[in-house]
Amino acid sequence: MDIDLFSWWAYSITAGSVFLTLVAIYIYVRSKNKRGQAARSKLGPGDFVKDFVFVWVLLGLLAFYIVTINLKSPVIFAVGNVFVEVLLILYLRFNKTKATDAGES
Amino acid sequence: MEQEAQRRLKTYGYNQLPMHAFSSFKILLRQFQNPIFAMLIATAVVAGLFSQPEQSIAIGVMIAISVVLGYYNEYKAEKIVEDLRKNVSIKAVVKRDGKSVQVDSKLLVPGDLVSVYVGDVVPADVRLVQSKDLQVDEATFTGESYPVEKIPDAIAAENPIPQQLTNYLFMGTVIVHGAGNGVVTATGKNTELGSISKSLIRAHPETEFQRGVKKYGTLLLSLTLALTIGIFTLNFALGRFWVDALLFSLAVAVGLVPELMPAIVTISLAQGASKMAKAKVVVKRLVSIEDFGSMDVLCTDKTGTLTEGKINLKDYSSLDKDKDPLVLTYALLCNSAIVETRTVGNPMDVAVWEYARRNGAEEPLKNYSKVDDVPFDYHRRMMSTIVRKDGQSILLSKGAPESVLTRCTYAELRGEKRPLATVLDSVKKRFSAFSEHGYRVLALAYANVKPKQVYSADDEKDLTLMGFLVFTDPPKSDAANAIERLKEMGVDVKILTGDNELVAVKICEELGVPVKGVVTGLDLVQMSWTKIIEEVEKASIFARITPEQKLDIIKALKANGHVVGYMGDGVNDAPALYEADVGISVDTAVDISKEVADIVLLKKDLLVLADGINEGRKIFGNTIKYILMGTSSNFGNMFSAAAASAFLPFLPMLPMQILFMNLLYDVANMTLPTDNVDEEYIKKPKRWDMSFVKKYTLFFGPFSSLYDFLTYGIMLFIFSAATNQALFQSGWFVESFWTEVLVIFVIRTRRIPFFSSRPGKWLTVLTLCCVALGTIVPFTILGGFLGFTALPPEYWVLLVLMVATYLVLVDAGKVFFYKICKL
Repeated sequence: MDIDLFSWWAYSITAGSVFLTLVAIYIYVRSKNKRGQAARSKLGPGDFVKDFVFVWVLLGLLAFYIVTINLKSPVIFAVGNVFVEVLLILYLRFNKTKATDAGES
Repeated sequence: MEQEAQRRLKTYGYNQLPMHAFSSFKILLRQFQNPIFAMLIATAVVAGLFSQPEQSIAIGVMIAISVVLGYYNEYKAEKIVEDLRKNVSIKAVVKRDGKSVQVDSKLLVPGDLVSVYVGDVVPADVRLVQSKDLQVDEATFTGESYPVEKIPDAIAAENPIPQQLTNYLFMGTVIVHGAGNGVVTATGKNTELGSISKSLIRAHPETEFQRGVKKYGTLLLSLTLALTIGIFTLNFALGRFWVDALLFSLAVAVGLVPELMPAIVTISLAQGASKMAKAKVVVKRLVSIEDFGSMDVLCTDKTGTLTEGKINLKDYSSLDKDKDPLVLTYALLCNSAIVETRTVGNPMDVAVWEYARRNGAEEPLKNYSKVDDVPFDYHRRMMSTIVRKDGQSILLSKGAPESVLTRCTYAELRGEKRPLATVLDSVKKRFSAFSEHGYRVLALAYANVKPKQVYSADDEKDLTLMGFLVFTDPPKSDAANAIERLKEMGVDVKILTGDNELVAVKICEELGVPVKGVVTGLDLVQMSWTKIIEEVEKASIFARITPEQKLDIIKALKANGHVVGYMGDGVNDAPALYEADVGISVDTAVDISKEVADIVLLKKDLLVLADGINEGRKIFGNTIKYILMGTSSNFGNMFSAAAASAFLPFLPMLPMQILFMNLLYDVANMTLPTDNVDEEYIKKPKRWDMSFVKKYTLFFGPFSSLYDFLTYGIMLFIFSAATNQALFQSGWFVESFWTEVLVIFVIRTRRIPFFSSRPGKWLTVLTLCCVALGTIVPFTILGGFLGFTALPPEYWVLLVLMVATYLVLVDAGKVFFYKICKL
């Protein structure tokens, strides 16, 4: 029962994360297409990596959550969360100005 | 007399139509018209019928609380609007105790003797006693598009229909020319209008915001329907008792729909209207507030906005000398102002009278007797009066120089009549010189005509140009600042004026207002519709235009995708006020303009308008926050509930628990209308964008679902809740509620929450109170009743960390989202 339930749970949460990643890619591509060829040609692989920081964090978190839940370890879960929060807060602080500017279209 | 009026007021009631009545019963009834309540009632009945009385009672209590919340807030909102409306009452001139006084028209009683003037909305049904060139627009009443002449003479017809009653004025019709006195025969619901009022209410076209909300409702309804059917089928197929499956699917559906949205929107609008009233902006139609904030083009006349709106007669010159007394006498004779207890009418005609009274220039008038009038109209742009002096009939014409000149054959210079062609160039130069100095100019001409009873516009020919009337209307000192401020707010101001282009340009230059382009009424006549659509974008001044052309300009701007505001105060502004997305009038405007306007300014000032626009944008912003929250976190949570029900051996949350969470969520959102809105958000006009809402839902919904799944994992595998239904449900209830409610602090701003954008005080307090309540519920008797159990202390530590990560991750997602989807 436990194994079946765990597999189901792991598949579900993975499917959710993949869905969110696909939505992000879809919105990204649509937006770039709207802005035209010029905007697309300016994009390098570096931009893609930078723009999708939250997706990389999300996928990393997914792997982390699956592993810790499998280990049934509340301590690792707690420490991992704190670590990710610090990383994200640093990322947000760094991107603060850009984020605000983006809203002022 | 006044006592008798009071007595009759008690007998006949207030002179107002039933459609304006404020009914608390209707508000209560409206609470049940929400389809969600039908679903909730159905859920309670199903639960009651199938031996689940505790669920039935709990749902009943939730319905009652929701109804009370919705009723209380909507009642409060309507009361605010009702009080605001009182600021824009229609006045009537009535004789009481032998004196003419102005009273609120709702205080009129049968038997009152009232006076009506051009621009007035007839305040009750009135039998005419006296009239003076009285013409009435009865279009809203009879459908007749041409004005009808009204005279007090008795009519012979037996059982006449209202159209035949030429000696009656009907409530709600508009005086377009002349004046009259009469006795009030019926008031309020006893008037002809009262008996057919409902069929006569001309519905305002839907605002852009209303259209958006409707689309949003359709989206939610389809989502809810699909999810409800899907969940029920799935659970039934999995072998669950059909009543449980039905209750669960209905509860998820209820959880998805923001049933308090009408109340939240109404509170936002009413609170905004209340704030705007303090800024001297009275909102007559609540739903127009959002469009007020979205407005990106404002069309306005220049009088009172660019200028002080105080028109004075500066000069009355013949072609060879200034201040010619005969020109002034003719201007007083050819004049549409009503001079009785007050001087009312066209501001320039009023200015001529005021000047004459100040300088005792009325004396020569006794030598003339008036024969007939050919009233002003916006196509001829002139008026004529026929007078008799010493047995000679003289037709006097006054109007826009371009119009008068085309009807002139001669000009009078030094007492001699000579062909106009010989002086035309110098006349035009003189006129241009006046205009270039920013003066408003009217030409005056005359012709000796054959005596007859009735004259028409056809008699306005072979005129002799006599001179000019020159008016000043000083520029307003703060107009340039106001236009600049509106420009910064993304509102493009366009001047629509009946004056010539030289005057309009001169005033703009004096004020330092940039002129992008000028289009005249004549230019518009020669343009195709496609060309008009193109030109309205380029020009900032539209001069010498007719009321119909004002409408064309507004329609063209709307066709270009703009949200258009129109500010006007004259009789001729009424159609444009109605057509614009936001019709703005002023307290000193004629009744008809105030009646059709959405918003009435107590002070005609563009700066006042700018404050109102700011408020409108804040309201729009807070309403959008609620919608974005509802479609993202709410949707995510309910989606995870649906998914989990497929694989768990029990329901992930009981219907009662879902409904309780939904109720708490709604309460937490009640103070959302008081939230602060970031400065950059209100800098530019915002539009309802359905594709943005869809993208937002699609993107942010899964975040919430992911953390729900994570909670399932924690509950099932760390706290072994697979065999403890109450523990699982309690754990998920708390997590789900925390994420659902706390995410508002992230979603409400595009900045970093709390650090660079502080939420409203009341929003913070109420949200945290609701979170506290949701947290302690599992430990209480109520929690036991709802099927919850106490959670282990370790869970709370994990929950705090998990929810914190969720909020920070959503914030990171926000950075990505707004970088990509700029709204």
